[in-house]
Amino acid sequence: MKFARTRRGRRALLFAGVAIVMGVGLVVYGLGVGRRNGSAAESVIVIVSEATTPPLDPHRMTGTIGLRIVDAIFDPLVREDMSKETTAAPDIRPALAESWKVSPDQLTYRFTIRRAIFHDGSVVDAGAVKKNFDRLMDKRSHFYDERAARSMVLITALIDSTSAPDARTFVIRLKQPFAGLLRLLTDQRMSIVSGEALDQYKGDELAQHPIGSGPYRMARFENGGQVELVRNPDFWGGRPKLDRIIFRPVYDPTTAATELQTGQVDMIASAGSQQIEQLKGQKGIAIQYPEPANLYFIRFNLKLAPTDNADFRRALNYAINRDAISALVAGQMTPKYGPVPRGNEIYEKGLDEIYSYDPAKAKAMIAQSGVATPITLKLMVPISGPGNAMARQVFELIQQDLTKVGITVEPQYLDFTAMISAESAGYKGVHGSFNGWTTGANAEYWFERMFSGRQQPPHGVNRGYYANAEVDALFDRGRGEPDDTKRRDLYRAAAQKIADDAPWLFLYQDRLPRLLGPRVTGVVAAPSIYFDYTTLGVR
Amino acid sequence: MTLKRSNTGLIAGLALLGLIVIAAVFADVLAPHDPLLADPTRRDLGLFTAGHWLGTDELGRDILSRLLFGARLALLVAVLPTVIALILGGVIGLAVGYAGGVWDSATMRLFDVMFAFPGILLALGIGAALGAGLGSMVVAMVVVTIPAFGRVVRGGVLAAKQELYVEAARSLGYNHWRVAARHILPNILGPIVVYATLQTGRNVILAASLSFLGLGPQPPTPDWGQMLSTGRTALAVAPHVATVPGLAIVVLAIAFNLLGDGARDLLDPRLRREQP
Repeated sequence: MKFARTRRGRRALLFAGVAIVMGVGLVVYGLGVGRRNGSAAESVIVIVSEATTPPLDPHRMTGTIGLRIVDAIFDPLVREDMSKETTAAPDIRPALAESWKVSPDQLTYRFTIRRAIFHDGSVVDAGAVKKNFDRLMDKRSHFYDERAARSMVLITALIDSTSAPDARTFVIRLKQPFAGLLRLLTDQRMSIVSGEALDQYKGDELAQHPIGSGPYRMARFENGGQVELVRNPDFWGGRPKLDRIIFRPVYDPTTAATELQTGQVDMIASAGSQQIEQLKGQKGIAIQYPEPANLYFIRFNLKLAPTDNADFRRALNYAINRDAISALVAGQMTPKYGPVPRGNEIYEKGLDEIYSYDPAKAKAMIAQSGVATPITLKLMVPISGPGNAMARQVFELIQQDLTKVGITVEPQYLDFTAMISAESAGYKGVHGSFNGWTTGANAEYWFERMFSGRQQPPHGVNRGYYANAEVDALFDRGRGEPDDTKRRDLYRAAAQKIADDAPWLFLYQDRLPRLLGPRVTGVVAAPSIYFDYTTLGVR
Repeated sequence: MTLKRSNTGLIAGLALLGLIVIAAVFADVLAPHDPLLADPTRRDLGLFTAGHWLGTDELGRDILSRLLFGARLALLVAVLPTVIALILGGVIGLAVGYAGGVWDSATMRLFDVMFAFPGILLALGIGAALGAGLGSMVVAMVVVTIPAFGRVVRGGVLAAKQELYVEAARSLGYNHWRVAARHILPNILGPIVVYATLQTGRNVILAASLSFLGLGPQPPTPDWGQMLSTGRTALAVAPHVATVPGLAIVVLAIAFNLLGDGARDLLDPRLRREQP
């Protein structure tokens, strides 16, 4: 080509080349934008996932990221009502069980199973529900899954037996009366998985095929990437409002906030204070404060020195300036000096004021505890995840306070999902982790899961191996106590002992605000980190 | 010697670097606050706030103080890996260049393999394998930059080997090490010094990148790359928290580059000959 050989010709060709590349780029970008917004008829909501999506097997799961997705795909037998903005615990409403009857002796629960179908077309019946419970508690059943069973033992330990006398009736028989059962069954991890899926997929395979009966079904799951759900046209509760829901991983809080501002995403379900500051007063952005019961803490490894020393742990509870953390997050959290979060049924003033900020006292107590300072603590810290947008900064303050009392901290910063998976087998070689936990109003569920000696790994999430026989005895009495006032007092007594043993460094309760883009409708600030997918829609 | 453009660059580079070195050396005296002391009640203060002239970061720490103390680390992680890589790469390059043959080919192919990886990726891999921290960051940077030093030195050696003075030294019966170290090395030092200076500038950016990605010194150590990274979370609310350390990184990198360019102009014999 002669043209290309002249200098001018080459320049012209280069220019044309650049123009073509830019043109193609624009078109591709345009297509991308088009795809994001969908055609005019398509309604899509994009929700930010703050960390890696774990495998979607509800029974084996912990962590809000995965449970939030499970909540859209699956139904438990009963749900919490997310349609009302209350301060008390949400009401319990039917889900896959359309009604239930409790026997006069409080031991037998008869659920009438709704006529519905799973996403794979199989029928929801008592048999399918029974398979789920067999997976969790019947060692002789071939549905039994050790990991799922361990994860749910707190609930299944209450149950003597289950049966399905006919296709529409499912019966749970308890070992002893327990008024909190229904609340426990609303747990997303008690979701009912398709019976056929349980027939077909075992072990890790089930997570690859999340088949439930919920308003949305799985369309696409790129491993570690974006999760795409589509409307379940056969949903029992009427036609879901959206065509698609996309859970897009955006690990960087600033990027997430900017994407919400520019309309790339529609919801940040658990926002950090800097995101709120960035978007406060922006037109169309709504800030909700669901204020679910939750607690942020450092859970100590009680099997490793020096955190096996209760005096030392108590001392550390005096060392942290929680008010400074509150100032850091613009007051988005309330300091906590004990194990009872606001929103829990046994909450009362005083129970969260067992410790205080008193570094001099902390120093003296450490000296008395026999632990020689300076000493190094290895702690895991999440750098992503729901409610963790500011975790790194919060931890720097904690580190500073601990340094003042002679403790060097060696932090291991991890992705939220990576940290959960690292700690779920129980701590090994670390002194603990900085984490938060969201819970319902139920006292049993919160205290026993977190602090019962029977809930240590591999059976439960008491990952720091705390055990106190007196506390466990109080739990046993509380669980069987039919009188609500007495029951609560028993749990209060347990909470007092737990606070005194200081298995955790109690830190704060986050308001866990939710940021909604201008298009989102149907999300109410009920006291939960979850929301109602059946009412979720777009303007 | 008249002040030419090249010398202007050199002097500017020296001046900038001198300022940063002074800041680093006298950080204790110059810093108005403790760089580690967080006070969230004074967070995200803007530029030119009385007492905090460069504002405070998201934890309420004084940015100026952190910047001054961070200069120590910034200089350290720019210079130290260069020196180590220069020594190791230089010895390797000198040895294989002088020896030639199979050793030379094998080493160069190994370097080719390392060149094939993007430097930052290789450094990230090494850093991730060794765990985050200052030490592993320096190791990663050294490993990534050794091949380039090896090549530069080897190239010089290959050219010098043909020169008469080398042949003369050999004829006098000097052993190989003496010829290599006493006769070849001093004659090829110019390009090596220039390359090392420019590499130091690149190391500023590499170190900041690794530290930005969390592989560098861990918080609360005042480190420019890390300040940039954490400051980013407040970009919309308090843009200066990230911008100020970002500018510092740019200035330091420019200082080393000016210095390197100036040194090249000064040391390159061809350029020198052109001077009247």
